[in-house]
Amino acid sequence: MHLSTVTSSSSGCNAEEPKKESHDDHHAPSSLLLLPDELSLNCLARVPRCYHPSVSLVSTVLNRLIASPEIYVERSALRRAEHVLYVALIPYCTQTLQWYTLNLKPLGQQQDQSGSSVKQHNLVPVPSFPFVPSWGMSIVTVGSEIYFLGGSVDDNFVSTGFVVDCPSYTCRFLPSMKQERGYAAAGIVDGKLYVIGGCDPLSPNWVEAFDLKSQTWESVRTGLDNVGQVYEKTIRSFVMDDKIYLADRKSSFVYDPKESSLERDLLLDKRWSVVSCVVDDKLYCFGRQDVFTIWEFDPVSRVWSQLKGIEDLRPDYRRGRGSKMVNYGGRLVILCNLENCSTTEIWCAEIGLERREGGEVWGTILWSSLVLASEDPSTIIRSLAVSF
Amino acid sequence: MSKKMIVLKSSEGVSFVVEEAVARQSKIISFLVEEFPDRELPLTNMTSEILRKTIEYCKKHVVEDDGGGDSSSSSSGDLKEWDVKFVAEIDQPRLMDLLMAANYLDIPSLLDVTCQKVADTIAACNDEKEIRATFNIENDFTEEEVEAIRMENQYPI
Repeated sequence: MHLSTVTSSSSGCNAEEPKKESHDDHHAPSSLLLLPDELSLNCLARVPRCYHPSVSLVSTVLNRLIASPEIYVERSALRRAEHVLYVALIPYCTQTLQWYTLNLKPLGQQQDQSGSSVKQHNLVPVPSFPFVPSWGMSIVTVGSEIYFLGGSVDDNFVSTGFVVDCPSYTCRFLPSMKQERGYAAAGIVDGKLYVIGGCDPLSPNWVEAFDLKSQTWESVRTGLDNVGQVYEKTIRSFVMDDKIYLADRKSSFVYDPKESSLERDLLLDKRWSVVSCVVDDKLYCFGRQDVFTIWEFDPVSRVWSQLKGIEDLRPDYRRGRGSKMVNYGGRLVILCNLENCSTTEIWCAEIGLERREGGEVWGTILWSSLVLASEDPSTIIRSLAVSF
Repeated sequence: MSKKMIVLKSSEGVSFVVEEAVARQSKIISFLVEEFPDRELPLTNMTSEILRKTIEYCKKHVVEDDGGGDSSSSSSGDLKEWDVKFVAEIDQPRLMDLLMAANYLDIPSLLDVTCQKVADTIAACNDEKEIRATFNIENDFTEEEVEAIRMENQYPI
C-alpha cells in the first residue's frame, strides 16, 4: 500500500478555520495513491488506452502501474481489452523492421492551435518489439499474441515459428514446422492455425496445422487437386466462412480444411486486390480503378458490391504506395505512405461499416489524419490489429 | 413474519440496525453473521458516513426472496441509473473511502461502480495536471523523467 502523505491545496491549511468540522480531519486526505495497487489497477484498467499517456505523466506510482503487465491481466478480466493497431515499417536505410502502434488521441484533446496538418493520432515506435525477419513471414494474430511463421532468413526459407505477446513483447518459440516456408498463406479455422504453401507445391507437408490449444503441430492430408496451379509464394491470405482464401500473383484459391479441398475462385479473381482485409466474414478491398473505391465480397451470396459513403476520403489513399487495409475491431483502417522517395508521410483513415436496408453496405469516415512524418524514406510492410 | 435484523457498528461507535438480507450482500458480513449470530458486528475501519452510504447502496440492491423466486425491488435499467446518480453525488475523498469499504466488505457490485466512477473521472480530465488536482496527487517526477515519458508516449523518432 502507498502511504505517501499528500498535501492537499484545498484542505491542507485549516489553521484559520479551526471550527470547520471537516471529515478529512480524521485521516490523511484521500488520494488515488492511498489505494492498494490492486485497487488502483482495478480503476486504471477501466480507463481507455487513449488516456494512458496522460495518466503515465501524473506521478511515478501511476506511471509504474500503467506500464505494468498486471494492468493488461486486469483489463482482460474486466473485458476491457481494446484493439491496438500495429504497423511494421522498413526504412530504406536499415532494412530492419520497425514496429509502431497507433496511439489515438482522446476526443476533446484533438484540437490543436497550429493549422490543419497537425497530427491527431500518432504512430508511436515500439523499440522493445522483438526482432522479426523482414521478409516472407506468415503473420496471424490471436488475441494479444502475434504468431510469426517461416520467412526468409539470410535468403533461406525457415521452418521456425515464434509468438510475440503484446504488450509485454516477450517472445515464445514454437515447435518447428516440418516444412521450410516463405510467403505462405495462413489462417485460423476451428482453433487450428493452418499454414499453406510457401514451398514446393508437391511437398508432402504443403499444408500443416497448429493446434492453438495443445500448441502442437498436426499432420494434414495432402495430395490436393489443383495444388500444381498454385504459385510458391502467396501474396495475401484471409479466412472467411471457415475457409482459407489464398491469392498468388495470378489467381485466388479456397482451401477448405474440413473437406480438405482446394479450388480456384474465379469470381474472387475478378476484383480481388492486394489492399484487402476481412470484416465479419466479408472481404473488403481497394478497387482497381483510378477512382478511389472499396469493394465488398460476400463469399456466401457470392456478390461483389461497392462500399458507399466514402467519396470524401482524400484520393491520395489510392495513390499512396504500399497501402494497407486492416480489420480494426470491425472497422476498416486504411494506411498509405505518401512518400516521395526522400521522406515518409503515413496517412491513416478509419471507416465505420454499416449495413442498411436492402443489404447495401455504407462506410462512414470516422477520421483521416497524418500519423507519421519522417525524414527517412520507408515502406509499410505489415499492419495488424492486436487486442489487449 | 418479521425480517431478521443485525447491528453494524461504525468506527465512531454508532450502531446501524440493518435487515440481514441487506447486509449479507457483503460477503464478509455474510460470513460473520454465520460465525457469530446475534452479535453486534464492529466495523472499526469504517466511519458512520461511509457505513451509511454503503447500507444505502445495499438497501437499493437487495434481492428479496418472496417465495416466488428472486425479485429485485427495481429493474436493472433503473438500478443502473440509480447507481450513476449515487456515485455522482459523492465527492472525491468519500468516493475513495467508499471504494475501500466495498473492497473490505467484499461487495463486488459496489466495488465495480466506484472503480468505474474513478476511471470515468480520470478520463474526463483534460491532462495530467487536472488528474493530479482532482485526485490530490503530488507530481514527484523530475523534469528529465517527464521528458523521457513524453518522448516514449508522444513523439515518433
